[in-house]
Amino acid sequence: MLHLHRSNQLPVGSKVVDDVEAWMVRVRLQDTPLTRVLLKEIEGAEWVSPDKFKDRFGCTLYIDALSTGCKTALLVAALPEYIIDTRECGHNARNAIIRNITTGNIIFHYGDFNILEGASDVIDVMLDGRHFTSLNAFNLYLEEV
Amino acid sequence: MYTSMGNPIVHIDLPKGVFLLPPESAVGKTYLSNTLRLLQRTGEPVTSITLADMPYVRKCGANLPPNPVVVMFDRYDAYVPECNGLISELGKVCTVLVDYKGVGPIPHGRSCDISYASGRIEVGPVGVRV
Repeated sequence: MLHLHRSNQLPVGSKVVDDVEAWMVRVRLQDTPLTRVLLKEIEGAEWVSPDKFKDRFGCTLYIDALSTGCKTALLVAALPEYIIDTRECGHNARNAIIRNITTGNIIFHYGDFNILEGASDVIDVMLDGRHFTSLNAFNLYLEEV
Repeated sequence: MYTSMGNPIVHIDLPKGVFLLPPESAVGKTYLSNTLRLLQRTGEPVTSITLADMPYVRKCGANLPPNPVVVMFDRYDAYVPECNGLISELGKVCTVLVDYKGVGPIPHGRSCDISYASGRIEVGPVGVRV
């Protein structure tokens, strides 16, 4: 389950990652279906190797050239024991995290935007003590609070 | 308005004021930021400030070019609202671009669009293809 935390309600003693650009040097990416989906959805990119990706223009670049939002999503997947701050995520990156990642922790900053649907309505997130398995139900809840 | 015909080509088609870049990831904002920083090192009147600069900015102030034309604040959600005063002041004399996703209060700014293609970055008014 992906746990969504409010920035003012973090568990005591939790380990928070708030500088995702710096933390990317602490992880070595794995070639998994989730990694590939996040690269594709956020960046329009393709996996090449743990330190390289192919961008939307077909150029092979080092991982440090990824967007901050994509790095955030990859860190959420790679570091489930940490709480990753998504404050620098664009809407597309935040949406990709909610739709695709089912294990991990994030600090969730809700703006005025619903999470756009992907291929499926199925999600697995916890927010405010509520477990959501439907994106529609989650969006309705966000509109209420 | 600012143009650099190097590699990449950078074209900022905006007047003086504060402009908010689109709140989407992977549209080329940090690439623009890195390019502006490199251009400053060649003597151009542009620069970008990012999270890693903040210890220096707190101690000594921002490393701005003389008579700046474009100043960008990259990753501003990570250090908002520390530069709000500076953003407001700079917005009176040059084009200020702010990478801001919506966490925390910032000075009033207009939206703008960014277009990023291989070898070219353009920033302009919303609704006008740049």
